[in-house]
Amino acid sequence: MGLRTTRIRGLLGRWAAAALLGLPALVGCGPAGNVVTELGTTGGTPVEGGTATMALPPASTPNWIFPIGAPGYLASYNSAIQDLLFLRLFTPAQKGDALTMDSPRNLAEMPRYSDHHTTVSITLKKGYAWSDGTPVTTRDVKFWFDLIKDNKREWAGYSPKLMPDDVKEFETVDDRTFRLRLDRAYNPTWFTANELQDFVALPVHAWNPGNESPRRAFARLMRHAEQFSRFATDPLWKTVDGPWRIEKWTTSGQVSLVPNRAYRGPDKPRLDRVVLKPFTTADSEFNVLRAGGVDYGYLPPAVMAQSRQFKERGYRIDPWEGWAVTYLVLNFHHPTVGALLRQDYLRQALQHLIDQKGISRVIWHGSAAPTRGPVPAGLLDDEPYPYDPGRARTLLAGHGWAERDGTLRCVRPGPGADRCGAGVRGGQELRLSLLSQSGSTETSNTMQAVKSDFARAGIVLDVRQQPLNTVLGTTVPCERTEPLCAQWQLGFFGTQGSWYFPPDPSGEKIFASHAPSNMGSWSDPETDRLIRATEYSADPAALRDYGRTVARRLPVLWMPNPAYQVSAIRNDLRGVDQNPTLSLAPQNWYYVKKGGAGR
Amino acid sequence: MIRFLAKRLTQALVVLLLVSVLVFVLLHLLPGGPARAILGVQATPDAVAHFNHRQGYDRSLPEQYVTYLGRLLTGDLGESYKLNQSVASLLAERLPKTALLAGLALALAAVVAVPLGVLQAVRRGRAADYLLTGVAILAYATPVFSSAWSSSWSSASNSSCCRPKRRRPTPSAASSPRPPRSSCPS
Repeated sequence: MGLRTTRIRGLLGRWAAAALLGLPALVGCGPAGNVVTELGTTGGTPVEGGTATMALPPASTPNWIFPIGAPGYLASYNSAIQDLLFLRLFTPAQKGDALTMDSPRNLAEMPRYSDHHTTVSITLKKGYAWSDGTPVTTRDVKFWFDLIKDNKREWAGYSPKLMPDDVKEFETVDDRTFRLRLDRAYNPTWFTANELQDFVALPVHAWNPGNESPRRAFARLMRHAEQFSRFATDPLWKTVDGPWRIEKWTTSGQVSLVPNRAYRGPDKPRLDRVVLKPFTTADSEFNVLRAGGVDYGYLPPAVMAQSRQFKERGYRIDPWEGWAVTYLVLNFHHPTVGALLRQDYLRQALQHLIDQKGISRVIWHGSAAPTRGPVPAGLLDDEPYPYDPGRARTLLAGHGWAERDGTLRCVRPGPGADRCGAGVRGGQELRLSLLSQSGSTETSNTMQAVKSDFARAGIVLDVRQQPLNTVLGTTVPCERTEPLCAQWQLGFFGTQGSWYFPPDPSGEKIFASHAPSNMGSWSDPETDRLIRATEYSADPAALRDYGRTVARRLPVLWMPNPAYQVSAIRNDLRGVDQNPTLSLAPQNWYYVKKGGAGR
Repeated sequence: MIRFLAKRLTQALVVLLLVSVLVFVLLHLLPGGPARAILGVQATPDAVAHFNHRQGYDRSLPEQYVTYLGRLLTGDLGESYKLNQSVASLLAERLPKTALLAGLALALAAVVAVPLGVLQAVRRGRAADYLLTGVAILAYATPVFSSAWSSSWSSASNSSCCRPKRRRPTPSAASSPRPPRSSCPS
């Protein structure tokens, strides 16, 4: 009996101790853990080999290997992996605050434009071959082009009038050179960055040995691409020309890459293996990172305060800025507030009431930065309408708004310089409703901060939170008479950035009249003219002019742009380049050990 | 008896049919729709229309319901966009592990509960009875996440294989550039 009592007491004691020790862990006060390396961010001697494990973003499961993405499978983590297996002809590389398409990772030499920019000649670089030894030729590029041309509606990257509609003819000159005849003259910078970036060579000798028609070949390849569990074993995906090949691809989305020993490019892998690990939530990733389970992970914004502990443990903290902008969409076609939102002074006043710097610093703990306009912030000099509640109040008062019963009401209706504006009724309350995505503490706090600042000027903002899918399905371009148009006034879906740009951040898809992703139905002749210039003129200043002007026009309200992620990388893992277009280049990664001058 | 069973079976079928109607209607009442959710903010109206056509969302609701019911009855649970596999294959893949876990939990519960129940019955109103009742109430009252963490901590503290080891500070050889990692599963 005594023995039994001791056992029960021991068990109970252990449970009690576990509960007591568990409490601090539950409230986030756990011990810092062990040091992963004593090396700093510089120094050390490079070593060959080793395995690097990288955490994928929350709920990101790599699920598509075929370089032609089917609708629904165009996620950046899929294309980042595909690009390591199948080389693109042109890839973006960072150059200062901008991007260049002249990357050493390109499969092709830079394109040559002729015939007043209506013809493009492209030459593949010498010496590239598939992993089975067959040279990479223009036939491989033509194979890709024929596949997307004959199956464009099945390709997620297709937009009417863009690739492949803008290419009238694909002429093969020789094994390494081909020529594209375009349907009109294009801005070479725009065409190379946003159209030629799609071009990829696919192994026609291995994927279409029977010379099937593009339609039949595509259908067969898609059947292979839908067999997720066979990505690592299907012989089809083993013929690659990139620096890596697939070792494992589990059905939970964990991908192991090993070097392609037959790779002929300049950037041969130095590691033995790279593992890309999926996570369902940011919290689960953080727990694994804290336990030392990943070498290259990220800190959720809520725990940014712990970044010092990670630095002490041997990680460097490096925000990965995306090539993106973030904004509140304004529904210019809303039946009751559309007229209000079309007033320039009102949008300026609303923008003056958004404290982007304060929100970035306090709510995002420095992991977000103000959006300055319709292009990534680094391409613009400053915020056109900085936080200034006084200026906002002056603008509103100067246009016929006065406080009545605690809220602002229009007291001088009608068009005119000092009036509320066309379509705004006398006595109309300045009250707006915002449909914002739920599930993020930072976004919820941001919206509360905006609501509070709007209230300081007398503007009532009602915030409704819905899941992202609902917000994306509701905030769509609409006509005034459609019932859906009355369901939203302002919308926000930018917890991870509202819009990620192609390498040339032009606005033909978001701010041009009737553009597919112009959710608020902004329509402005000057914006359209500037966007056309970025696409079609050869003027190198076209993008700058577009950025500066549209930043001031306010087709949306600019909001703090969160970093893609705040990375925590082991100090002894070097060569990591966080490309803003979210591509990966683990072939440049390497470990260092202590000693030597390092690099 | 057969009549009773037939009656109950018919009732069950009616309930299942009503539940399927309810689920179908509720899913269609959700604002937004699946096209934008799956295709994302960059999808063109053409792409959204094409997706809706391929998935049958452009058909009438009764037609969609009949198709849904037909697929459900033939075991076709559809495709998971997230995991690029059929839902049936995903269930089949996870079912053995779930069944093993559930079976083991059931067996463990029986092995522990029956003898303890007998013990409590034999020693009713005595210290062991009160103690075991108290432990059972505590176990019921403890949140699952807390008991799971406590269990893993207490079992890890008894097992040398899972005790965290201090990493060597730097790699020692070119052939093994990475410091050893704790073998504790995460």
